[in-house]
Amino acid sequence: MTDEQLDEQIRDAYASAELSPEAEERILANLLAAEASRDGSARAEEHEAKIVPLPSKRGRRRHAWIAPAIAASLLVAAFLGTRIMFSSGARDAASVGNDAAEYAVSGEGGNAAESESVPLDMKSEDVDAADQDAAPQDVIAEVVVLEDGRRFSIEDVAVDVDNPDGLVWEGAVIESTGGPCEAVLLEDGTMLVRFEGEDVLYRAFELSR
Amino acid sequence: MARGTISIEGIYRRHVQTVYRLCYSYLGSSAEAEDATQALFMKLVEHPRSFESEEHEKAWLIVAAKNHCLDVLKSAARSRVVALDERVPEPSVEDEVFKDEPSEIMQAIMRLPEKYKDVLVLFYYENRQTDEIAGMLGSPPSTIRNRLADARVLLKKELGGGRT
Repeated sequence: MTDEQLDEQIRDAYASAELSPEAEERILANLLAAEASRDGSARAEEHEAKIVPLPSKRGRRRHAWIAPAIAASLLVAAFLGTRIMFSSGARDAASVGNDAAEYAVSGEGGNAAESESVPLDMKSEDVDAADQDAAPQDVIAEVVVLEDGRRFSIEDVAVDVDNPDGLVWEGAVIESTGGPCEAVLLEDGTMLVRFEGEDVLYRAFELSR
Repeated sequence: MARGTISIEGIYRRHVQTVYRLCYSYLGSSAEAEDATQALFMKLVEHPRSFESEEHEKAWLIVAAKNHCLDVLKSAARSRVVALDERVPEPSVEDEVFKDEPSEIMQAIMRLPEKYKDVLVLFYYENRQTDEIAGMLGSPPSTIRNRLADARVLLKKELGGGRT
C-alpha cells in the first residue's frame, strides 16, 4: 500500500464515521434544555442570594468557622443563663417555700433558652450545609494564576491521578481571592490543582498563552 | 469569565463532528462516542467560558475530549472484569449492532496508542497542517510530524498484516 492510498483510506474512514443528523439534533436538544435550565436556576439563585447571602467563594470559606463559633458561644451562654435562673429560682423558692414558683421560673427560663437556641442552631447548620455544598464545586470555573502569569480555569474534578504526591507541585494563587493553592502542569497542557488540606484534585485548562 | 455570553448551539454546530470523530476513535462505539460528545458539551453548559477565537474553542474541545475519553476508558477498564485483550474490537455476534461495525481502517486507528489519535483527526479530518496542530496541542511541530509518521507505519503494518 502506498502512502497516498493509506492517506485516502484514513480520510475516508474519518469521513464515514459521522454523527448521524438524528443524534446530532437529539444532543443539541438536550444541551439547549440544560442551558435553559441553567439560566433559569441562575436567575433564581441571584434572587435568593439577595435574601440570604451564604458563603460561596473559596476565600470566604476560610472565615466560615466564625458563624458556627458565635452560634455555639451564644448557645453556651443561653444554657448557662438558664442554669443561673434555675438556681436563683430554686433559692427563692426554698426561701418562700413555693415549689410552684420554682417550676414556673425554670420553665420560663428553659423556654427562653430553647426559643433562642432554635434559630441559632439552624443558622449553624445552614452554614455547615452551605460549606459542604460549596466544596468541591465552588472552585470550578475559578481561575488559577501561576507564578509566570499563565492563567488556568478549573473545569473539573480530576480523577484517576496516580500518586499525586509524586508530582512536582508549584505554588499558585486563585485569581479572585488571592488564596494559595498548588499546581502541576501535565504533558497534555492541562494542569492539576489542589488545595492544602484537601484530597480532591482539579483539572484546569489554560486560558491564554 | 464571561458567563452566559456564549451560545452553546454555535459552538456545538461548529465542532460537534470533530469532537464526535475523536471520541469515536478513542471509544470505538458510536453510542459511547455520542455519550462522550454530549457530556463534553454539557460541561460547557454547566461551566460557561469565553474563548478568544474559534481556534481556541477547537483546541480546548480537542484537549477536553481527549481527557474525557481517557477518563471514560480508565473507569471502564476498572469496572470491567474482562481482560484488556478482549477489549480490542473484534467482530462478534455479541457486539451491539452490526451497522456500527467500524471499518477495517477505523479499527486499526482505534488500536493505535492514544497519543496518535488527536493528531490523526486534526490532520486527516480537519486538514490541519502539522504546525497548526502543534499550536493547538501545545507540542513541538517535530513531535507532531513524528507522530504522524509513526502512526502511518503502524497502520500500514496493521493493514498489511491482512487482519480483517
